Amino acid sequence: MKQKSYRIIAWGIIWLLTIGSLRATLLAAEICPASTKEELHLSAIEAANWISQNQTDDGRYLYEVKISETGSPILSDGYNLVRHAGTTMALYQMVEAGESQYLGAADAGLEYLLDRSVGTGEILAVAEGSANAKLGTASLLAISLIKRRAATGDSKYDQALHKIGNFILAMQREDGSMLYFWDQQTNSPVPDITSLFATGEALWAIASLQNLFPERDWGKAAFLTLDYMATQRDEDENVWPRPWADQWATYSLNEMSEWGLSEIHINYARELASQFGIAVRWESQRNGGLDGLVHSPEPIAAGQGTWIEAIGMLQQLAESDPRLEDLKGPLQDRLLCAAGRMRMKQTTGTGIVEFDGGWFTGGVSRVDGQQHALSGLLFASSSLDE
Amino acid sequence: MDSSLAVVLSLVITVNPVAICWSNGPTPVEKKQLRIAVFAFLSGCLFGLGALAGGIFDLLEISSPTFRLGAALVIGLSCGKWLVAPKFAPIRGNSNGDSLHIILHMLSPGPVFAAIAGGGDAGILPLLLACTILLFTLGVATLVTVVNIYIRDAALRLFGGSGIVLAVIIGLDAARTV
Repeated sequence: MKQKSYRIIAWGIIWLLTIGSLRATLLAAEICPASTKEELHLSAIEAANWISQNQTDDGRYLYEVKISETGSPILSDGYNLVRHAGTTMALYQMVEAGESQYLGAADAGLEYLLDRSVGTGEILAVAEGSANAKLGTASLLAISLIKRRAATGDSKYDQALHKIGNFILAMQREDGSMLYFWDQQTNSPVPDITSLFATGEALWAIASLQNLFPERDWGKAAFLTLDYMATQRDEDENVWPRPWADQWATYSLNEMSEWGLSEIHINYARELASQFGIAVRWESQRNGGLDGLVHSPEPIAAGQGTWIEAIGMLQQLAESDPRLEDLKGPLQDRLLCAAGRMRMKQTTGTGIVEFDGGWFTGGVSRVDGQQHALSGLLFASSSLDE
Repeated sequence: MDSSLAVVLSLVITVNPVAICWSNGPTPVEKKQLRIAVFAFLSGCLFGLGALAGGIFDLLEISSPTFRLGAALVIGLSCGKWLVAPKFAPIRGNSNGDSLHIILHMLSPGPVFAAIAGGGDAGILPLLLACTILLFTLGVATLVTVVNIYIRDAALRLFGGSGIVLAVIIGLDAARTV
């Protein structure tokens, strides 16, 4: 009898230890605040306000702000032209979504880029002074111009778009990979240097160019780079885990959704969906308790924003491609979970223009945090239409 | 791995029929019949828990793939003990003691987590099939008498090793699920 009691007690202790340790770690609650379409859209507007209200007259955005010990803003001197281009693109996404009040800020950001345009008569890139032009800046400029054209119907930048397209093609190698820098002195790409980020940005740009100007046949180059990203890029760039969680790839896949994607591309989309899905699930378990021991540190807002963007794009792809039908529900769940959490973390109501609408991690907020979160929140909001 | 196959394998392997069916000595027919009745009841309990997976996930506020990630860890640890200590909790041939041992074993974290994870991932019908196969396997194993300690240890370790491999597969699959 005594031995039986010991065994039952031991069994109970094993259960308690199992449940307790798992609940504090792997099985911590996934907290996903519910949000309405309007709340998500309003959160995107707050982020766009942060960007536009902190913009200077020459179109330059506030790059980074820290919260001082006394609670006042400390502005950073640094700047990044690629992130400027991405932020401009995000503002045009807002305009495309019907928020025309941001057209002025987006156009000012666009002029800032065009003032720094470099190249020959056939190509157009963007660089500060005599520095090398980066592929990512030109690619995001192209997408900004395409979004602007879609929102306003204004075709005055079509010639510039063709030149940027030529620049991107000049950076493409035979295997579909992309070179990162353009040397202004030699008027040619800098050999052997690639970028994890810029390849996907460039693919999205040329895929968008194909959809806008089908007569130019950018599609072949787009498929070449998509094939490279789906099959070879991770090995060449030595990234792990694979595939690299590239939200630009998801924009590209969605842009090419009507082109007849192969099974390789669909599998790539599935693998990307799982990468972003577990990122959202994992982060949603970080809620300030013991779970923080396993789920910390918190990623910066730009990182979390890219997850929402990517899942939003994949959710749209799943809506249009029946081969991804089974992912529609889970993607929608993750999209709303991540967007709801992002909305709750946004700084509001301080009355300080450098703070309100931004996301702060460790007391610091950078412009690309607002950029990526804004885009993702727009997708999450529009997903509630269906 | 197919989710239906995963729930069948995870249930059979975590229950580990060798650990609760093979006695040290000959077992009378009446005791075998009682044991099979206990197996049937406990298989039904596991099915019931697995069928409640959706409600359990809601209660815990976690998604199915996240639960599977935790279940993979539990399955791996509970099977690991068979690989490391195959003589753990041997059957004594005493009716009451045997029944208690079977109940505590089949309702231990390994089988319970496997049933809930499988029910949440594969659904009710595959879970029902898995519980039926589990009961059949337990019945067959009860009818077989193996007294050779080396064969028993080897079989226990085989289940233990298979469980660890299965846990890795389930864990990776859960990590690759949206």
